[in-house]
Amino acid sequence: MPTTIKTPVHHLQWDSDGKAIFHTADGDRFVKDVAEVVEIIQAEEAKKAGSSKVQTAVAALFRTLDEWILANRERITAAWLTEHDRALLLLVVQRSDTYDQALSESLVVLDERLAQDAEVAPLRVDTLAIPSWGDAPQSTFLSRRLQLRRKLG
Amino acid sequence: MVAIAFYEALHLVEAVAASDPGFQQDRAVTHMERREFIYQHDRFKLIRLAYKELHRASLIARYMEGGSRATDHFFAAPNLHQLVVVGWLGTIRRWAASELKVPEIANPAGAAPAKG
Repeated sequence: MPTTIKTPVHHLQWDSDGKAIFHTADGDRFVKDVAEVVEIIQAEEAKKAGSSKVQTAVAALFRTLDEWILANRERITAAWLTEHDRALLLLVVQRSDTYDQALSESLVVLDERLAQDAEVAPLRVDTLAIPSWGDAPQSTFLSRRLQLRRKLG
Repeated sequence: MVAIAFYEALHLVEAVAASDPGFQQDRAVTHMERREFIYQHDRFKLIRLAYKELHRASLIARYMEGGSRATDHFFAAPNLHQLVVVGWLGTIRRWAASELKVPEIANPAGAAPAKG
């Protein structure tokens, strides 16, 4: 069910379980959902940082990911936030059938930015671009615990 | 081939980290911890793209449906060896040789082109 919140973070629109969600930094179900996952997969770091800081970090993460997604929307066909290897994972499906070096380089820049962003610091975040191979190329990499799809259109 | 290449890269990263007393306390255990380590230390800046691509190729080959074929297709099969072994792994070998102050790193994974 769509939810509008007081302090919008660029009015991001994501799919969760097939439903569109507008999320913001404050009181946002999506932020809370992701923060809860972080408290499970990074229990020690999340406990040390505190719930409030984790939620702030998740909101900051959304902003950064959204900037990257919008800047690279011509190069990808889908973007998911999920979890893998006890970390959050930005999973994108590449538009090109073949290797896209520019996309790869752009993801490394995003990785560096995330690693150096003090606000995102409590979170472990990885990124992965996969080819559009098969009917649902993302299925292998999506966690049952967290599957949020960023609408590109 | 890509999984072997990735694990060779991983061990080269570990070897460089182990050679530096300053890194001893931060040694990585999991892939994610190793990744964090690589992004936290400028010494690894030159290999970030190559390491990421080797990891990605190994994940695609091992875990995607039809992974081996997907890898061949995605990374343009005729150039796979060139891209993976000569390109990405070669970058990490040269970097590791420089960091470890040895003339060169041996070439066990790249001796001959292989599929998958």
